[in-house]
Amino acid sequence: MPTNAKGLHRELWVGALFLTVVVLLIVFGWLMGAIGPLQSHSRFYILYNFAGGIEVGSPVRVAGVKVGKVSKIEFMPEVASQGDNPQERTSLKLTIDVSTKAVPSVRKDSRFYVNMAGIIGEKYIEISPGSSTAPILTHGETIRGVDPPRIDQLLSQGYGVFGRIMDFMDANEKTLTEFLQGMQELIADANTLLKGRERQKLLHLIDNLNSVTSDIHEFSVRMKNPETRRFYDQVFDLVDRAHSIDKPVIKQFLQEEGIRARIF
Amino acid sequence: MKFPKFQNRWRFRREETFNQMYLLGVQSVPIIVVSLGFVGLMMILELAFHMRLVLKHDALVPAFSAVLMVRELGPVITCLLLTSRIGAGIAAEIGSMKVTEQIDALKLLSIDPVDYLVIPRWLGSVFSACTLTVISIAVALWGGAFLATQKLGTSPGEYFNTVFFFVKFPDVLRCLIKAFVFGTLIPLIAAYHGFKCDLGSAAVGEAATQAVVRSSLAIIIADFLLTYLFYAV
Repeated sequence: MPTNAKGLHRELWVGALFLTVVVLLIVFGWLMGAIGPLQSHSRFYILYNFAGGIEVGSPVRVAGVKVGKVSKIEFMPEVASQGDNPQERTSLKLTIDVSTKAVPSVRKDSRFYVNMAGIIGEKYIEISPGSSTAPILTHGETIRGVDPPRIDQLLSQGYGVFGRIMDFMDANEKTLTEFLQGMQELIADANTLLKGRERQKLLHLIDNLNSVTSDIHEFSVRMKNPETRRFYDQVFDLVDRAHSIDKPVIKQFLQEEGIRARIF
Repeated sequence: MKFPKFQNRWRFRREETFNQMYLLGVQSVPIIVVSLGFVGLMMILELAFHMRLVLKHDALVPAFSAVLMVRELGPVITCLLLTSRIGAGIAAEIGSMKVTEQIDALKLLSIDPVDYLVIPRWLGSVFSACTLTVISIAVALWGGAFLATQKLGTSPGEYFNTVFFFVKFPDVLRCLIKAFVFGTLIPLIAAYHGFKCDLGSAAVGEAATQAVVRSSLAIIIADFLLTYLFYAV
């Protein structure tokens, strides 16, 4: 024990410093998600074949809100999937802890995606809220996650496709060259035609076509008018009646009237 | 069966240990708070400049500054400041005790000088290094949050959310291991130079200088080795 007041005073200060640091460490641990004595979590297991860069400690979000973290990653190549395809085998088992506040949104039909956020691409698990009719996921259940797209495989496949295109081009180089030359000549001719003396003729032709189509349009509109349709019907009727008057009848009529005419 | 020497060597001198904790730790709080507070402010400004220059974006300034502070600058700057403050003091104190033959007197009284002088200072130094490192990180983060709020337009919630996304608790534990190692190096090197001090007042000054220089060097080398061990292996 300290022998005087000065010693006690110093021990109090040292104790205060120590307590301050302990409190700060607890706050750091709480903010960093390492400790959460007042929080309760539900634990789920997600199966993947490819985790896409997820690490222990990566956040788990439900509808974009951080609600937990990845607490463990295990390589378990013989685990059978619990999802739609029970025969499927997956190679990774992720253990995630989700806050109980968010658990009502995690349903049997929720999807577990591996997403990327931020400009440097930090990875997290996004849980899409399931439908309200599906039962809520219970503590300790295992779900099949949605494997993220493998950029490396896409690049590899793209490289293969590009290689085949190159092979095709190499094999048909002469044909392709001729085709391109022909296209080039065609374009050059068209260019010459459009730029030279013929340009005015083409423009005139286009103007005429425009005018003709415009007239036809106007005629068509007029033909749809009721008066025009009545006139058309009358003309049709007249022509129909004139059609029945043949040559002898017209000749007889002209003779009777004393008209001399050479019609036919 | 008795082991008197063993018991004597490791006897816990409570009063002297608390005294050293007070002198080395509590009395160093103001200089650490002020220094690391300004380091936190400087880091925000400097990283914001560089990130705008290169990435045209400063959203990750809080994260990078916090990672750098927790993993490197927090323990290193704290312990370098501690070295300049207490390393010279320990070397000069032990050196002057040797010059005035007080250490010989301790030996005559069958008191082990290492047990009596070094162990309490080592405990005090380790306590100071660890506690002050945690306080310095907290101060630097709060300083950074203040400046980021004022200058970068980041809200405090956004700042701490970004910080604690990148800084993990194991980083804090590794930071404390660093502080423990640095806190061990400072009194050991200072005491060594104090015990090896030649006779004369000039030699005491030389011992104090050597203690600060070599402790600083040892801290920087140890920091590299620990960083390599923690993050590169």
